[in-house]
Amino acid sequence: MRSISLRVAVLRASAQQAQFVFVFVCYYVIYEVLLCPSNMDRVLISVKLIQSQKLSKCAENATVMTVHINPSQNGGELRSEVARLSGQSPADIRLVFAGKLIDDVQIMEDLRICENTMIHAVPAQRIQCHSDGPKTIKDEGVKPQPVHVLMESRIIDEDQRSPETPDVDLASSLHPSFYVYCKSHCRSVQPGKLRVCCQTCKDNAFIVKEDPVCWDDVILSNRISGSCLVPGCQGQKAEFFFKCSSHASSVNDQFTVLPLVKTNTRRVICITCADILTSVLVFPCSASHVMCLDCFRQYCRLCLDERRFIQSPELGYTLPCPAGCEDSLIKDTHHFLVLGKEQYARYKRFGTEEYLLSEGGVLCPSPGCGAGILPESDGESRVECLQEEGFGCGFVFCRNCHEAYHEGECGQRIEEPHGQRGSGSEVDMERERRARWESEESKRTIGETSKPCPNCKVPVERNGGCMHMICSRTQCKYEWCWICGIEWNMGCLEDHWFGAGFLL
Amino acid sequence: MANIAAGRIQRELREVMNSDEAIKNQIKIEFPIDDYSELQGEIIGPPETPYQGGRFKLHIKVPETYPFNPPQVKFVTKIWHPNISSVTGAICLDILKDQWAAAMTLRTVLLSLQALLADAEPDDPQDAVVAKQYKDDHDEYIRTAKHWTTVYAGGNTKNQELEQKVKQIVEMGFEETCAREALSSSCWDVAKAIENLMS
Repeated sequence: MRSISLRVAVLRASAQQAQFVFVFVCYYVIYEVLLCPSNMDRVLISVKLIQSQKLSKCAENATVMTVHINPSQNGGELRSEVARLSGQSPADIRLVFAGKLIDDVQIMEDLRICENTMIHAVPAQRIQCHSDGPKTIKDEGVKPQPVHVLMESRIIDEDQRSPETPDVDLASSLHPSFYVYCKSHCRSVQPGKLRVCCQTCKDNAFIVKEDPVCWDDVILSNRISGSCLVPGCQGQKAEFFFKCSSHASSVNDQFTVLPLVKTNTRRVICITCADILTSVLVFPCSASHVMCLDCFRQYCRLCLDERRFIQSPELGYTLPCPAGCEDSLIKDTHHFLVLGKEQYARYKRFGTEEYLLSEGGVLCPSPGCGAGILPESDGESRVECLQEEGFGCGFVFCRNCHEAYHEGECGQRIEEPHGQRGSGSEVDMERERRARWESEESKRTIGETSKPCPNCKVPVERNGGCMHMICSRTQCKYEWCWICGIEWNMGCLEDHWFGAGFLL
Repeated sequence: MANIAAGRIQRELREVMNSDEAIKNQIKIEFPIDDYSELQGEIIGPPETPYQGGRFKLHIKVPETYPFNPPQVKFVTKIWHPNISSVTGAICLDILKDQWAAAMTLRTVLLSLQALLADAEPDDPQDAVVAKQYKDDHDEYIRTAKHWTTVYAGGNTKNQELEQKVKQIVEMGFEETCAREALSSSCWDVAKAIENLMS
């Protein structure tokens, strides 16, 4: 009986309509409970009624009502039902969904109208006046275009544009779909819906003049025109947006479209796990390598842990295709939202750090600080981590060796005055040593087995092989000589490639 | 992560076992039941190389982060090759380091190693002694590599002269392996080898 209570709630119980409502309730009790046993198949959709200007002066007065539909129902039947519920004649209204008029013969299921879908009922005269106008819809403007065109993942990259979608495997039940990262509700990658509204008044009662055919049509503004059906609005530009298909959305919900995530209609195996999964990420390489979302998440996580992301001046902190393809960097870094909230925050921090380093900045080496500092480019080796607005720790360090600031050459050991500050307190020296995050032994081991990269100062361990070192940091990759501590050169190659005393 | 690695390795083991090369007995992989992290590989020496007729065992360690990181491979069978350490069996091959890509598999690794045996890269060596010999005295390199293949990998080109020299040093009280390594590094000059062993 849930459906009936809902329906009663949305009908405006004004005095004039009370009797009308009662008749409807009786009608539906008889129809749904007694005559329609297959109530389970029905889905609940919302219909927003846009009143004609005579009845209401602004769109805010529009009424939203909920309607139960049968997925096999056609557009004409829905129109009649909406007309009945709103007390209008079916001839006076037209239904608009996802930027298109719904044709009377179109079946709800084919339009992917499902639970929680919102459609718009607009006055027929409004459509008429727009179709008469020379600048809006063409002569055949009233003739409905198939709505599904806009809903399916027909938007393909410019370079892969093909006339039809031959990749749809008819034998499978896979529908091509957009994918969004649902930030506020699901916190995961979900099938998404492409929707359109008027750029001027943001209302969804808008019909487009032509379909978007590429991502730019959808993402950039002013590419697709159409007409707004809200009385008083002269909007002619479409604004596209995405919603999560998994739940009814509210105004505050945030969805980010992930253009590289696609439905695996071609049933391609994942490059990593070799399974065939429904939702996959297609890398922007010439081979269009496919990776399932689970493997992609793990790939991102691993590359984050190992600092293997690449700082690209144009694209930001990003990853290439794991098959090592050229020109395969992911352009839209929102795809890394799949890392989840916590790891995505880490991703953003690392990205910021790498950007800072690439701009000549330094990170405060004090444990637990790590504040980013952009020192003056005057070659001054003294850097102070200024304490300002909750940032910084006050540590003063040497820009070259990242140790506490010192006069003269780097590399001369400075005894830290731990436990000897002031005169009043006694510190158990042994306990103090053991309580240090990095023990003297581990520091000594690092000092003995590693040397700082001459370029980025990161300690690098040599565990065998020749003296030709390549810094393992993705952003650095500096080639240097283990013996000389300078850039690798022909002299090193000839003199001590495999160590002092061995000539090749 | 481990699940991805284990699933991938199982598929790749099947791929190796069903490959043409495995059917022709050119490559082989063995693994303990339920543990895919440590594998034993085997490749045959390519024809018309000093390694012909030898079977070379490999130790393959699959990291937890496979296939995003390469497997760690080293030769268990001792081998004389510029890109493989004659002491540790460590391999210098770009695809096992920074040129690794997730699309590569155990089968492609084994085939790449076979290709490396057929076509050494002396300008990017792992074993500097072998590389120097390879470049300066190629005939000596071939003689030594053939000898090692016969002694360690079951090859069938016996060289009495070299065996005799090894025996000569062993009789002085040195280990056979050390004697052979010293002789190989000294272009089979017995006096020089002894000098190296004594220093």
